[in-house]
Amino acid sequence: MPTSSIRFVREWREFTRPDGSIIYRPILPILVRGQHGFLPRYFLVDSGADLSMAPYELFRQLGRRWQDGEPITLRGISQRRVCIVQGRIHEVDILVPDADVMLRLPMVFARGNAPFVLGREGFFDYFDVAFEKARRRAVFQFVEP
Amino acid sequence: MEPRVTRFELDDPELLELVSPEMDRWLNSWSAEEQARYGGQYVAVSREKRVVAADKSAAGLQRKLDEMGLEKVLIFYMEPSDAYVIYPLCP
Repeated sequence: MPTSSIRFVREWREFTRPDGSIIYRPILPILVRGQHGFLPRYFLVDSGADLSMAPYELFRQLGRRWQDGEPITLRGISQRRVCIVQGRIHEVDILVPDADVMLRLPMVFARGNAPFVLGREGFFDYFDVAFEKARRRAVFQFVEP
Repeated sequence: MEPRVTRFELDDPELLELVSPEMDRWLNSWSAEEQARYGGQYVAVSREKRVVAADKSAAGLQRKLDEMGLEKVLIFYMEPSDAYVIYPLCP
């Protein structure tokens, strides 16, 4: 797929730890298309995540039926049974405002305190992302379909 | 089948302010104390660069926003200041 001229840079967000050191994280503002308009959220850009994820409260604003989503069992590092989370995958439209591009991608919604994560499926199909840690920034290059 | 990618130019100035690099810079200017105050919470900020609500649960934050009648806010999760993010789904 050819790359396009659409390219943008986002500085990483800074987070100060109790010892005064700073952690920088690649976080991108995304507008999720809801039932009554766009919903601005910050998502962590995570190339290690298979899918994107968000809390159930965001899903409630999409105007969809929960049971229409594909059930999914989420497992993390811990093998403890209480650490297994049930969620549903729904297709959502997200607007990447820096690129004026709207994508439809699968997103896992989970009850409880789920994080906002932008994973590979969908997003990384259309954006090449360079994580430039030394420069504390991420460079996003839109890839034409 | 609808295309999975389309061009879309946002023309809502309020939303554009919420997702602007200036908003990033303002949040990056928070002191360690401010960050710690909201650590472990879902936080909503307005275009005027003000925290309008925060809560330890996403549901709690949404309830507060509903009560205030606020819709156009930027919402994010502020990790606890001593956290390393690897999202193991369970501590």
